[in-house]
Amino acid sequence: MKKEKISEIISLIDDRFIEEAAEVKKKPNRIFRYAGIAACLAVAVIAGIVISQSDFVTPPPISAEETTDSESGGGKNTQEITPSPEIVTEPAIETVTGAEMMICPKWEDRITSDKFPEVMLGETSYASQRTELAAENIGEFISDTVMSGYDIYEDKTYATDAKIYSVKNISTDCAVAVRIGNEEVYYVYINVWYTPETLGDLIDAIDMKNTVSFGKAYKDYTDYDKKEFVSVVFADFDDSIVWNMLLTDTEVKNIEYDRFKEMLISVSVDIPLLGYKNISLGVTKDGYIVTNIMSTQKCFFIGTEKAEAFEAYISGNVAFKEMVTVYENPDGTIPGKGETTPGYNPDEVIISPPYNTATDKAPPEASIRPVRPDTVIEATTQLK
Amino acid sequence: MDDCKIIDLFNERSEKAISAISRKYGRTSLKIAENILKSKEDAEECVNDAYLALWNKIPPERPSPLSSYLFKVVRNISLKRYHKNAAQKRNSFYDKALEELENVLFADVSAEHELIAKDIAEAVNRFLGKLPENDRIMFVRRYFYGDGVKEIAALSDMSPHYITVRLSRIREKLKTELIKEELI
Repeated sequence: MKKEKISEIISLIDDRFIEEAAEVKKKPNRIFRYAGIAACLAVAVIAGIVISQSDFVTPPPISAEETTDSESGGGKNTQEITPSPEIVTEPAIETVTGAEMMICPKWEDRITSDKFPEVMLGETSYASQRTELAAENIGEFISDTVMSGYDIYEDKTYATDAKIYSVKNISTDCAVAVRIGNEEVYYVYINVWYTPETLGDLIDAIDMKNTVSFGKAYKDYTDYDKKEFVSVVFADFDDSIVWNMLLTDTEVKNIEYDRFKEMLISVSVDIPLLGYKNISLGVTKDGYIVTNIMSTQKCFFIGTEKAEAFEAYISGNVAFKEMVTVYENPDGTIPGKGETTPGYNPDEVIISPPYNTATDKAPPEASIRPVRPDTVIEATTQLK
Repeated sequence: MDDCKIIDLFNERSEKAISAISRKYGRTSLKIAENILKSKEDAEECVNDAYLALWNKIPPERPSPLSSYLFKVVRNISLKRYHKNAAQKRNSFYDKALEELENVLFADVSAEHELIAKDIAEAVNRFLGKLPENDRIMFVRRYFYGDGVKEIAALSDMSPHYITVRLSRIREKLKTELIKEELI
């Protein structure tokens, strides 16, 4: 009876999680670390073939005014569309199967922190970030420990002594440094479950003012009429803009948040000390900051006014370039162009349709088979 | 072939619908059934029964996403078969996965406290939504798809020991959440 009840509960797991887990093999970069490299190579090769076979039709660059127009027209569906990288991913990865998808290097080929991916300190588990720390960043010695590692090829378990240290200026609630065996190397290990109470706690715990750097900003939207997916990438800008416009109220609480809300704009985040590169700090349309700093979601409500002001400032003052993906008709013509792209083979690439089956009506037949990012506009524009 | 096209084939009552869905999702469906039943023959029968069930449901239904709809049907049919078989012999493999969750969902439950599956499932979904992606995938692969710890380890470039520990922590966190929400 108990088992039947549990089965019933598990049967009610949300569709999106079931889909997500089903796609693991198709999208190895999610959970597979090493397969991503092979997949990327395959994507590059196939993308190269597709590009080299076609003379792309390049529409005229979008002016600032047109950008604003299309943004307001397609804004409601932002974030619901499969972006261009998906277009080459699916067929490419199907060519990398079995042994080629070897996801785990041999034991002797792994770096030491990969061999021993987890360390415990009391009840807290820390996961390897595959990142070395310079000796100058090592704080106080905390404790000796024993770590275990597993060789999946030989079915052997290894154990090693290790020493745990704090990382200078970083709370041990968030990260520790580990020296494994006799190696003169310190690796950073992260507590991915770290949950700050407030924005200020997060900023202090990892010394964000000194460890974090912000990079480019990103904004995506879809123009359904033109069947275009537009990704706007803003150039690097001064970190103080983020600090002054988004991170001033340190008392705001870290709260639970529905991850499917629409993103207004996001900024890439690097924390080299802790091994993070190109993670994200996003601002949602309903006024939240959402970030995956320290690997799990943190969310702080700052209000729509601040969120919109930040988006408006970046859009109005920072140089940007646009990547426009045009979806082709089934016969190889580009919507509105009436031309067939040379080298187009409809059987070559099949991807999901450019609409959300859960929320949108089916599109007309003509747009069922979108194909590839065959038009890339790189219009670097300085507004104002 | 994309899902809309497959559903169109079902709507047209074309038998190509079955071969199309089988080509696209057959392998995963079979894996789910085999993980539960540990018998290839039984698994194949269940998957075929699931295709038939879809044939009878579409139209009028137009499931979206099609994949998880099919996987749930496969799982339910396989579980029915499993419970029928289990009356004769226990399948320790799948039992083990269920027992892991039993300790979470029933550990502190007094006999008269009736679990409401729907409420718990909603809480489980909220919990999964907050998990890091890799942990969530681990959990769903283990308890929905019925994958073994070694299989998940092979997929994720981690040791079975790591996966076991990680799953145990996820279960503990789930238990804490459910207690906090006064559901168990």
